[in-house]
This record gives sequence, C-alpha cells and structure tokens, in this order.
Amino acid sequence: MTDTQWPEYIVFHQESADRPHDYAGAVHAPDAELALINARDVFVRRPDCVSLWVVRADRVFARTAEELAVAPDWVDSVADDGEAEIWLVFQKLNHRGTHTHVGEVEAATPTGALKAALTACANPSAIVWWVVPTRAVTRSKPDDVAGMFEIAKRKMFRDQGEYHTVTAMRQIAEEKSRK
Amino acid sequence: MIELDNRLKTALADKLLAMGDDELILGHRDSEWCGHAPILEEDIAFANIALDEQGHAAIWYGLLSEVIGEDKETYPDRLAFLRPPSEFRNAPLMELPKGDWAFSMLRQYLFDVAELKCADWLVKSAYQPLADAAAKVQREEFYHLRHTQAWTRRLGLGTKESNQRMQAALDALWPYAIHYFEPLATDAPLAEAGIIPPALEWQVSWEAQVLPFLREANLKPPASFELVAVDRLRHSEHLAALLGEMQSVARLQPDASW
Repeated sequence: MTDTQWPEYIVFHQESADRPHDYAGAVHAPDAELALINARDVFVRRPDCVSLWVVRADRVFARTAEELAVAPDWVDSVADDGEAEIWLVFQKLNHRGTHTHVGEVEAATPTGALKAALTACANPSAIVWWVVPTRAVTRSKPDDVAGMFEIAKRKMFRDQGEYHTVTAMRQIAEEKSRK
Repeated sequence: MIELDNRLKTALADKLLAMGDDELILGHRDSEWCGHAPILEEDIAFANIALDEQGHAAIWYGLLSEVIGEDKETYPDRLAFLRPPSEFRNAPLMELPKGDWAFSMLRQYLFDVAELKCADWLVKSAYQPLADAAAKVQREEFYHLRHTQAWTRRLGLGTKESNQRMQAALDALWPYAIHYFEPLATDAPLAEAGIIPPALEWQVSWEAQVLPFLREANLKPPASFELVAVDRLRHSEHLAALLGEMQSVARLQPDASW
C-alpha cells in the first residue's frame, strides 16, 4: 500500500531579529509553499514571530551525542566526496530546550556536514545535532512579515483565567438555593 | 470627516448590517469544518479563517452600534444571537451549506477577493471610522487569500477528481457570487458621498482578479445561469437551520453575561 500522508516538514521560527531560529515543531503539507502557510497557522497564533523556515523532515540529518559517542572514530572515515554546499547547524543543549540554529558549515554530504559542525560549532553540552542543506530550506520573505506575522499583534488572546466561570456558577447555585 | 445626515446614517446602518451578517454567516459555515477538515493542518487553518471572519462581523456590528447610538458592548451579541432569520441581511452565498471541501474552499476564495477589493477601497472612505476598520480587515484578508488561492490552484490543477469537484462547486457558486455584488436599495447615496465603493467598480475589480486566476486553475465560470431565486431579504431554508444551531446556547438564557 502506498503512503497517502503528505510529507512532513520541520518548522523553525525566529522570535525577534536578534535571536536565532528555533525548532518549533512539524507540519504535513503537499509542498513547501503550503508547508510555510501551515506552519504560520499552526505555530504563529501568538505574535512573537518574525521569520519561518520549513524543510522536509527527510532532509534533516540528526544524531544524538550518545550515538556519536558509541563509535567516535566515525569522523576519520568521512570522505565527503562531491560538490560542497552550505548546511545549517542546529544544536539542542538540554532536554527541556529546543534545537537552535548555531551556525553554517560547508560540506558535500550529511556526514561531512556533521563532521564540520562538530568542529566549527563545538559545544560539549550539545545533546542533539542537526544539519540541514540550505537549498532544501524554504524561508518566509521580508515581505511576509506584515501579512503573515504582524496581524497576530492586533488579535486579542484571552487566557482561560479571564473567564470567571467558576464564580459565575457559584453565584447561580447560591441564587438557586435561596429560592 | 464627513457629517452623516439622517438619510446617510440609515443607509450606512443598512450597509454595515449586511456586511456584518455576510461575515458572521460565512464564518459560521466555515467553522462547521472544525474537527472535520481533510487534514489536521487544514482544520486549524480553516478554523482560523472562520474566527477571523467572525471577528470582522464584530467589527462591522460595533461600527453599526456607534452609528445608531447603541451600546457597542452588548448590541453586536444581540444582533448575532437574538435575531430571527427574517431579520438577517446576509447574501444567500453565505448561507449555502458547506458542501464538500472544494465548495467551501472556493466560496471562501471568491469571498476573500471580494472582501479584499472592498477593503482596499474602504481604507480611503470619506467616513473615517469605516476607513480605520477596513485597514484591520485588509491585512487579514490578504492572508486568507494567500491560503485559499494556494488551495484553489492546487485543487483546480490537481487530479481529475479534484478538478471536477472544483468545477461543480464553481458552477453552483457563480450565480450566488454574482448576486452578492447587487447593491442594497440604500447604497447609492453612500457611494455618491464617497463612503462605500460604487457597486459596479467593486464588482469589476473582483472580476479582473478572479477570472484570469480561475482560468489558470483550469476552472471555467458557467457561460449562462439562472438568476438566484433568493436574496438578502428572503432567505433560503438553510439560514433558519444554521441560526437554530448557532443561537441555541445564547437563547437558553438570553440575559446571561458571558
């Protein structure tokens, strides 16, 4: 049986221009344009976003620090043959945190990119590494800020605490008991 | 700012009521997909659009309250939840049942272009509160359109079945969409005063965007069609059913505070 699911796209969002892009979650979409639109609808209901990136999940090369530690000699056998391109490097620094964009490296293969990332973005606290080829990433454009993200700023979001349901129900119950 | 005499005030109140009702009824129809859309992401996106349209209804009803001197906090709720179907002034396009996904998506697309064109004009309305409100609506509609345009194109150019469903939806919706642009009996003086767009200018700007886009999506509006037999004053049976459900909770306890 063929898989009828749409492909999965990983979503990164940027909360303000001076902060890196962070992993936000994933959406399904038939193509990158709709992935970007879906990412906005799923992850940008609140107004703290200035940029979104989406990339097909199967283009993300991921390894945990534990996996890398099992056979540390793997780096010696990386050939990295082929035409070099730019890769984005993401790290997750603790179990409660998220994958954060920490830099770029140049490499031809996923393993080559990871090997380069381990040196260029060295961080002993990193527990997960992701490398993503930049050409696979679809980014929101500066023109999109007004139409996609700014509109959330004018929306009123009510916390559930603003609805005094329990108090109101108590009052109704008291009125009823008095009758 | 333009001073509204009584004639313009009444006409503007009629117009705002019709605009608010269009948004509320369409928003409710869209909301019927909540939990039923073909995929989770679309469920969220379409519910989002539905909420936006209901928010626009609140904007127009709020403006209406100011024009006729009603309480801005409570009057919009009374309009939405305590009026019988005969007092609603929405175009029949909005009350048609949600149909299949193609039907709802295409209706929303046709409306999005219309609302965006209207808002583009209204931001320079001679009546400043209307211009200010239109600016809020404009940006949201821009985003809705991006979504519904993306889907209309993909479904039109997708599989044989998706194209057939979209074409069937277009055949059914087109007469209602054209009817939607018919001006209210009281619109003319508002347009003359520069408060609302002249009806024909608005419709022409809509067609100029919609027709080439549909052609590119391999969809053809019907060459000839029967005129719609209902209007903003005489509704189809669908509206009563819709309101029966939408108003049921509010009517349980009309004096409740929310």
